[in-house]
Amino acid sequence: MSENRRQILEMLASGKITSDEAERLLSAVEREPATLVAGAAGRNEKLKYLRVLVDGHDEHDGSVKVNVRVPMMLLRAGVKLTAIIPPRARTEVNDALRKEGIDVDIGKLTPESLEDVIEQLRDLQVDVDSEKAKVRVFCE
Amino acid sequence: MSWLPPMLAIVHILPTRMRRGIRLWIPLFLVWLLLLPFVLVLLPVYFVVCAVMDIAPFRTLAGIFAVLGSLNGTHVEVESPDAYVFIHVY
Repeated sequence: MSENRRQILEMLASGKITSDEAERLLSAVEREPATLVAGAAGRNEKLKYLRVLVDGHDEHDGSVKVNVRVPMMLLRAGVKLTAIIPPRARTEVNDALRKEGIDVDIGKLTPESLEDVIEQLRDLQVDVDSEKAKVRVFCE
Repeated sequence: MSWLPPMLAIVHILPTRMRRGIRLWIPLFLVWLLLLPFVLVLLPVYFVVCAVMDIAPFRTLAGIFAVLGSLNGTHVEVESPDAYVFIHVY
């Protein structure tokens, strides 16, 4: 038995999680090796899209499905729009950020400097599973 | 990064109550061509505004083109009991 499975079963036994949650975690653990193999193969490929999938059900409105695909290029290109910010405003923004403990010069942001952030998004996956809706946010 | 703006947009708006909804194939390259004379006329005004506001005009233009160019592949699809909306940008 793997360490992850043992921990999940222990949490279930001690009442920290419900049986539904345990089932979801166990299925996620089972999926993990396949995801890792696929992920390793796709590491060299650039992320292209941010996907948002919503499958909702409302008592009054009925079923609603949303499928949105936003190109990652938009994020990279958006950085270039920092050029619109006048230098004086840029200094004020930088000062305000520094006061909050964020030492970033927004004038020096480039699409290349965002690559690390975008690379981290590869592992981003948001799964919300409620009675009324299922929401999935991920990058591909 | 692509500097070419999107050339085609497909927009479908199909309300369930109407028999025929709106199905549009918008040739954006024609829209850009139609806008080009206005852009050329307004270009001097743009440079004056940039000088007054202390904005880098060429970097801003590059940013706008980069954003337009990266819209390729945008896909929005919403399906509800009232309507079906589909937008795809090529």
